[in-house]
Amino acid sequence: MLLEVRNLSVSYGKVAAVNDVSLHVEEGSVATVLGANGAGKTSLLNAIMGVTRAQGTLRFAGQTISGWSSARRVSAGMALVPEGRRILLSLTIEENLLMGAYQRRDREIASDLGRMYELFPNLARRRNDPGSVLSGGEQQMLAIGRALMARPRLLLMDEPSLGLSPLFVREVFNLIHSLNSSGLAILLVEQNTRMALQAAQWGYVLKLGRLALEADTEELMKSDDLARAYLGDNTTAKHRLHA
Amino acid sequence: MLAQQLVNGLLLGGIYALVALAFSLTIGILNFLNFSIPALFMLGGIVSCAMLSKGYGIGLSVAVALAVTGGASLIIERFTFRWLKNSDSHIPLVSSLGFLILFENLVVIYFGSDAVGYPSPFGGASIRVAKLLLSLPQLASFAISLALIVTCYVVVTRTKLGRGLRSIAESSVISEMLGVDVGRTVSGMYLISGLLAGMGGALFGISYLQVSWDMGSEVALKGISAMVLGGMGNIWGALLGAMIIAGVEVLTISYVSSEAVNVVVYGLLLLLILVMPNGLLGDRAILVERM
Ligand SMILES: Nc1ncnc2c1ncn2[C@@H]1O[C@H](COP(=O)(O)OP(=O)(O)OP(=O)(O)O)[C@@H](O)[C@H]1O
Ligand SMILES: [Mg+2]
Repeated sequence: MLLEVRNLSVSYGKVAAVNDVSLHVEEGSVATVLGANGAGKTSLLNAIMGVTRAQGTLRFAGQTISGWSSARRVSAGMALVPEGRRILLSLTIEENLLMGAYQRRDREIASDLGRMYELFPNLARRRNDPGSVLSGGEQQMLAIGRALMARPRLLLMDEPSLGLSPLFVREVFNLIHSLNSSGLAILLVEQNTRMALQAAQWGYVLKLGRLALEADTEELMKSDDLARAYLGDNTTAKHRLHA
Repeated sequence: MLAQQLVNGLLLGGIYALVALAFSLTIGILNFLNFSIPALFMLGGIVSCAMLSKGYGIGLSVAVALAVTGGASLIIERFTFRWLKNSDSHIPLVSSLGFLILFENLVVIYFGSDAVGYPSPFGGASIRVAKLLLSLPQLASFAISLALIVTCYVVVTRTKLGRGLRSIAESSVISEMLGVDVGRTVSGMYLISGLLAGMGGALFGISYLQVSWDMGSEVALKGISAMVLGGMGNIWGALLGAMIIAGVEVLTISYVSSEAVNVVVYGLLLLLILVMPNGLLGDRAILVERM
C-alpha cells in the first residue's frame, strides 16, 4: 500500500469540507476520486499534500506522514498537479520545471529537465519565456512536468482536464496512461467521469465531503449506483456518464 | 566644481543603494516595508566603530558588525514575517518600527546620543585624478556596494534560493506545495537584507568617519525614496534611484543650500511619482521579468 488515508477530515471554520474519509492507493495503480462541485475533492488532495490542515491519519510508503510539512512529503515522493494548474507566471518555463525539483539534491536534475523537454516539445522551444505566455493546455503540461520533476512515486492530480480543448484532454489522459505504465501511482480527481473511470482501476465517489461509494472502476461504469451517488439524479448523471 | 560634486554624489549613492536594496527585497518578496532596516544600518556602523575603538582590526570589526546585524535581522523575522501570515498586515509594520526604536534607544543608552568619530584605519586618504579629489575609502565603499548589488542580482535571478524567493513572492501556498521551506527561505532573505543594511552602515562609517544612533533614519528615508523612484522590488531600480537621489542631494547642497536639500530631494521625488507611479524601471520588475 503506497498511500493510506484513514478517517481524514478537513474543515474551514464550521464548514466540514471532508468528513471522515478513508481511502488508499496501491503501488503503481491509478485511483480516481469523483464527485460534484464542492464535494471536497480539492480539500482532500490538499490535505494529502499537506497544504491544508486536516485531522486523521495519513500513511505513505510505510511511514506515518500526518503532521509532516509539504516539503517533507515532496521529498518522500508525493507531488501535486493542483486545480487550475497554478504555474508560476513570473518565472520562466524552465524555472517552473526547476521549482518542481526544489527538494532534490541529486545530480540528475539537468537530465530530467531534458526528459521533460522531450515529453513536452512545446515547452522546450519557449523554455526562457515566462510561464504567462503559455495556453491553458500548455500550462497544464507544464504543471504536470513540474510535478514530475520531483520524481514522485505518487502523483496527485486535481482535475487536470478542466477547461482544456478535446485535443489536450486526450493528451492528458494519454499521459496518465503512459506515466502509469512506467510504474507511477496516480490519485486522479476528475469531473470527466467517463475518462477517469477508464484510466483508473479503483474509484471513489465523494458526496458532500463523505465517501458515498467505492468500487472497481469496471463495476462503477456498469452500475447505476454511481449515477445515484454522484448527483442524486439518475437521468442527468447517467447522461453524463455515457455522453 | 560640478564634476567633483557629481563624483561625491555618485559615491554617496552607493551607500543609499545598499539601503534601498535592503528595503526593496522585503517589499518585492513579502510586500512588506521593513522599518527595522535603518536600525540594522545603524548597528552596522556603531558595532564596527565600537570594535575599532577597542583596537580590533577593520576586517574583524566589520565581520562582527555583520554577524550582529545578520543575527538581529533573523530575530526580527520571527517577530515580523512569522506574524504576518496570520495577522493584520499592519502588525509586522508596527513591530518592525518597534525594533527600530528599541535598537536606537539601546545604542543611546550604551554609546550616548552624540555622534562619535569612526576610528577607521584608512582615515581620509585620497588621491587626485585630473582635477578631482577622490577619497579612497569612499571609492572602495562604492566598489563594495556595487559588487554586493550585482551579487544580489545574481542570487535572485540565477540561483535556487532566488527562484524560491521569486516563487514565494508570487504565491507562498504554491511554493510550499512544491516543496519550498517557506520559513527558511524567508529567513535567508532577511539575512541578506540584514547584511546589506549592516554593510551599508559600516561603509558609511569608513567613508564619512562619523556614526551616531540616528544615522539610520535619515539614510533610510533616502533609501526608501531611492527604492520608490527606481521601482519597488527592482534591484537595478534601487541603484539608479539611489544615484539620482544622492546626486540631487549633493548638487543642491553646493549650488542652493543645505537647508534646501530635503525640499528639493523629496519635491523631485513627489513629482516623479506623480508622472511615473511605478518608478523609473517599473514596480516589482525583478519578479516579473529577467533583465
Ligand atoms: N478556503 C476555503 N474556505 C472556506 N471554505 C472552503 C475553502 N475551500 C473550500 N471550501 C468549501 O469546502 C467545500 C469543498 O470544497 P472543495 O474545493 O474541496 O471541493 P471540490 O470537490 O474540489 O469542488 P470543485 O469540483 O468545484 O473543484 C465547498 O463547500 C467549498 O465551498
Ligand atoms: Mg476542486
